[in-house]
Amino acid sequence: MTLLSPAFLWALAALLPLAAVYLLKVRPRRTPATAMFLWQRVQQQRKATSLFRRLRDAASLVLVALAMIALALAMARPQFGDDDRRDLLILIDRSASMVARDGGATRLARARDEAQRIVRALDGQQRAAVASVAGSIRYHAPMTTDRRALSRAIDAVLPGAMPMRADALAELAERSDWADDIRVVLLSDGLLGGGELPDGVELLTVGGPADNAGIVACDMQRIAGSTDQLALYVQLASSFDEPVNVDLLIEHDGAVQRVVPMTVQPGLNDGQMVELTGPAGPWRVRLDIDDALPLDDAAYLVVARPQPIRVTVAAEDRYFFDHSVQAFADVDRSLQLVTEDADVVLAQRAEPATNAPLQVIFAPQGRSLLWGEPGEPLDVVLPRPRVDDHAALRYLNVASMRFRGARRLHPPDDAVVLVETHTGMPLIYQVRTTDRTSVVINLDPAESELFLSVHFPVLVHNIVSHLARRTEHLASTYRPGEHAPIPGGGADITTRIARPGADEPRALTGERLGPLRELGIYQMDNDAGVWLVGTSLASPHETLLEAALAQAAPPAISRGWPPSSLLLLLAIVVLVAESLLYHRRKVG
Amino acid sequence: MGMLTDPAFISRLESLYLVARKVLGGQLQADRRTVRKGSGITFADYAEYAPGDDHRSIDWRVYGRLEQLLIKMFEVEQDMTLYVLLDASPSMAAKFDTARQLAAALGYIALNNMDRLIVHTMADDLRLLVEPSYGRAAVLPFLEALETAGTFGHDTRFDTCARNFALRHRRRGMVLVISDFFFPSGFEQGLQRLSYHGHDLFCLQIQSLEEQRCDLKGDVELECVETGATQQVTVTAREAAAYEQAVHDWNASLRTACARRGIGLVHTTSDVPFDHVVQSILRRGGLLT
Repeated sequence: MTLLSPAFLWALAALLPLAAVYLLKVRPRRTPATAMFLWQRVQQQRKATSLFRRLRDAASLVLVALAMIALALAMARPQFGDDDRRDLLILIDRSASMVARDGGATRLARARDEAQRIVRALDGQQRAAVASVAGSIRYHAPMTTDRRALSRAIDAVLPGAMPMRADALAELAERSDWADDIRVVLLSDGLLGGGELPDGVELLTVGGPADNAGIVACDMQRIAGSTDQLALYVQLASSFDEPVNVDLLIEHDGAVQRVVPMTVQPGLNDGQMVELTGPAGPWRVRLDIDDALPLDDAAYLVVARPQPIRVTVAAEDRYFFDHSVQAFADVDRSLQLVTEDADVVLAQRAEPATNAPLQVIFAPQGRSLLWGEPGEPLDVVLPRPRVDDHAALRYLNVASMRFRGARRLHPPDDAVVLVETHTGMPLIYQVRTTDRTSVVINLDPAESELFLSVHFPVLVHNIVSHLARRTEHLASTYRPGEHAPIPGGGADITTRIARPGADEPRALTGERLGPLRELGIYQMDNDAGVWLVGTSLASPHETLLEAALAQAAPPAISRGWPPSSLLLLLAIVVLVAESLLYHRRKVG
Repeated sequence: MGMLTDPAFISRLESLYLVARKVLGGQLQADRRTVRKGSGITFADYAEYAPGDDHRSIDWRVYGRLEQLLIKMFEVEQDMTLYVLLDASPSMAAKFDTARQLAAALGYIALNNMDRLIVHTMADDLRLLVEPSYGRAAVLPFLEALETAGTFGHDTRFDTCARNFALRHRRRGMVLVISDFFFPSGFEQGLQRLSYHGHDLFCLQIQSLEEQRCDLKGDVELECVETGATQQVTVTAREAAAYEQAVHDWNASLRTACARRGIGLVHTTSDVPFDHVVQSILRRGGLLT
């Protein structure tokens, strides 16, 4: 046992004056008696009472002294163990695995209980902060000595579906300036997302091994060339000691479409393919099992409905344009060749006379606000992309493309140049005007032999997808913490987002949705259409509950009521007992 | 002007006297006749002369006829003597005013009825407070003497005081003892001594409510108001009840002793107005048992 404030033991010197005061205090009040001889008769019959009174006075003095000793020791702050009493950052793991049931309570509940015990053990001068970690670190209470605030902050740590992201813990390690002053104590089940415990972070493990099986990877796609044939990929994992037979339920719109009996082996299983017939839309794949962690028993998948970009061609030589569009209409239905109500118009030499809001113009000629008065043809062209990895240039080797027929153009000042010559002359650029967005491609496709190159349909697809803001495809499912692209979304586009289980959609402006937090199906609704996004836990690090349970010795940290509090409690109890005796003295 | 010589107080005494006359009529006396023979105006009997008899009482006419010396005897119209023994020990301090008021009232009635009045105070010794007094003229000196009386002594030695009283006053009379009768050595012997010379004895016991009822709680150090002796006690409800029972038993023993000896006894508390007590005494026939 060590004393953090041994100087307070000097308070024991107060015992002497305390005893003196006590002796004065217990001195009974003097009362005149006219019939003293009658009192003497009464007292002779009560000799035992007199003996008790003397013993009681001695006991009272002993009790008061004991209370004083307890108070002095409490002020001296005794401590058992090696807790150095530095300020604490109490970090609670709120990842999905902490939702696992463990003996009637979740691991998170146990972690919160341990955190409350740590807070109770704070000695009054020691500060602490509360944070939680899963996909990121979230701070719930700043450094404070206010135990009530800390307790409320601990209660505010709620379970979630977010898997543990090892990088989040690594952020703490980067805060090396804390190391000397602050202890970081992580209350976790030890499943750290496959990462290592950073230096300077002490792990206090909660929970033990638990039997669990779950889906750790999944995908669902339409089989190419088919309209209703679907392929499901699913990978399972188990922390059961023995193989487990379980049914895999494949559901669409709440109805079970297929039941697949499976045997889940301990550990990470091989992936399995299941082919089935069904429509596009939301699907749920569910393991029919009662285990420790329900979150990983289901996966939410979306088979995207075809929503092609409508393209029309306004070019004299439209053969290659039509076939470029039709190629993608046949393969993945991402484009659709139309004659009216087009989203995008492909034109050559001049601005098309259509109402389409998006247009692509090859080999501009004549005067236009989009390029001014075309100048002399450029003799030698060394193209280079202005923006690396731009979605409109995906799969294209711009440097190898021939830009014959290119001319000296004068785009508006606000044009976004994607490709230019080595002298800075724009070759591909984007211009936004009041009512439409245009991409100007400064080359003659025929002269450049682009029609005969694979670059042409790729360029057409990329530019059209870029203009329609549909460059990224939605995956069938996302993990919590990930972001999903919003088709048709942008900085100036508002998309209504309906979260799983939420009654009211909320508006979101931007190109991406996330980080996704809830498991289930999100719905995105904007001018480009209605889109669904599935979110599934699908994390082996969260499913295999016993895989990474830390075996490290628990950190030396005080928990529960501190000895000083217990001593204070003892002093109070003793004083109450003495008060009873005092009451007995005063009122009989 | 003191409490007992205040005109208003004397007026209350006069009222009590009138009540006494109305209630008791001629029995109040001096008018009381006695069987003792002596000088007077009403012939009672003849007796043979004996040396030492008053020659003036010889009936010379009978001697002339019978040649026998006989003396004439007359009934004596004897005045009564009221002895008041007022307990002035320190234990009476809280009740002393009431005790003096009662003594004043009963003495006032006696003086107005031409009785002789003698007042003693007693504590650890017997002290003469009012010398033998007679008639209304003695009322004011009597009240003034009572006014100046105070408690004294360090004990109540009732037996000693009774013995001294008996030695001093052989003449029969009515002895009125006003006290709380908290005598550690008891009251039996004292009462016996006071009755020794044929005195009619009447006890007026005054106690305070605080003495009869124990309101103490917890640890207290009791200090005897007379001896100064102290004792620490813890008063619980049990102790309080035991004390109250002891007081009750003590008073019951006094009642028993008085009844056995034919002694009149009135018990009162200091919170009862003195005139109520006197009226109560008068209604039950005065100080006669």
